[in-house]
Amino acid sequence: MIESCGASLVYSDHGKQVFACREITLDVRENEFLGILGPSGSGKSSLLYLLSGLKVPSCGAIRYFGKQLSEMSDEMRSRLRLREFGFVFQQPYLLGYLTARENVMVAAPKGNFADQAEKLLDRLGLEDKKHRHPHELSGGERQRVCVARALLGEPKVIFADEPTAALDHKNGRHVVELLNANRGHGSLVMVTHDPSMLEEADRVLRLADGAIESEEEAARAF
Amino acid sequence: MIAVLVLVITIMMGMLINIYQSQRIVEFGLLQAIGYTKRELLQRVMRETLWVLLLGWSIGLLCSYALLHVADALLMYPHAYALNTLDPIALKYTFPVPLSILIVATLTVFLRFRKFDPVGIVERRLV
Repeated sequence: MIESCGASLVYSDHGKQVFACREITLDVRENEFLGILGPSGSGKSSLLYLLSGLKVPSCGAIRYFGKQLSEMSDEMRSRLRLREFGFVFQQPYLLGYLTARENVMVAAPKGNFADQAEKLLDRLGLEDKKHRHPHELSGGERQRVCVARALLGEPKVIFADEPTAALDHKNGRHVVELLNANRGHGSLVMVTHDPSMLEEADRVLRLADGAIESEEEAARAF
Repeated sequence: MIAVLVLVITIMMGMLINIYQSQRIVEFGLLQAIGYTKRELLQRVMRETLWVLLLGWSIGLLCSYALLHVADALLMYPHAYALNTLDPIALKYTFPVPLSILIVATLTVFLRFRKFDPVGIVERRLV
C-alpha cells in the first residue's frame, strides 16, 4: 500500500548535512499494524512524516498505491492526508474553542459525519463528555478524542507518533488498543520508544541513526 | 489628513489581527497536518476577519449615526445649520479602513503560511 524506496530525509544544520532518515526501503501492507521502534533521535518521527506525506524525501521515493507522493502538489498531499490518513500526535492537540464532538468533526470538513463522530466517542468511553471543551478533559480523555478524530471517516492508514508518550501506562495501553481495534478498516503505523506498546503489532522495525537496523515479525521482536 | 489616519488605523489593526493569528499557529499547524490546505486556512482567516470587520463597521456606523443625530438635534438644528446624517460621501470614507485591514491581515497571514511547516508545530519546535 505504502512503499518507501530508498527514501532519505536530509536536513541542513549550519551548512552540514544531517540524515534524519537514511535510504529507507520498506512497505506498509494493508490492514497491518506496523510498529517503528527506536531511541530518541533515531529518525522514527521523520520516517512517519515521510510515509504520511508531511515531508518530502530529499532522495528516493514514497509511493501510495503506486503514486509518488513527491510528484503530487502540496494541495494534493493535503487532500490525501484528510481523506485517506488519520493522525495521532504525541501531544493531544485539540482546538480549545471546540467541544470534543466538534474536535472530532474537524477531520471531516465536508459531508455529514456527525453520527459517526458521536458513535466513535461512545465507543471510546466519552459518551458523557462529548460536549465538553478540552480544558474540561483529562490528558487521557483528550488523547482519546484525538484517536476518535483519527478514526473518523475510516482512514486507510492511521499514523500515530508516540501517542502514548504523554500518558501513563494504563491510559497508553488503552489508546493502543483503541487504535488497533480499527485494523479491519486500515493499517496502523505507530512510532514509539516503548516496546510494550507494540505487543499487538504484526511487524516491528527497529531504527538507529536514521536507518533500519532490523525488521522482525512481532512474535520474534519480543 | 484622512489618508494618514486611514494608514495609521490600518497598520494598528493589521498588527493586532496579525498578533491574534500568531496565537493560533498551533491550530493552523494541526489543521494543516491533518490535511487542510494553506488555501483553505487562508480562506478561513479571511472569512473570520471579514465577519469581525463587518460587525465592527456596522456597530461603528450605528454609533456614528446616533452621535450625529444627537449633534444635529442639540447643536446644529437649533442654530439653523443642516447636518446630513446619511451623507453618501461620508459613508464612502468608511470603506477604506476595513478594506485595508482585510488586505493587511490576509497578506501577513499569507506571508506567514509561505514558510509554514506543520511538522514544526506538531513537534512543538515552534511553540
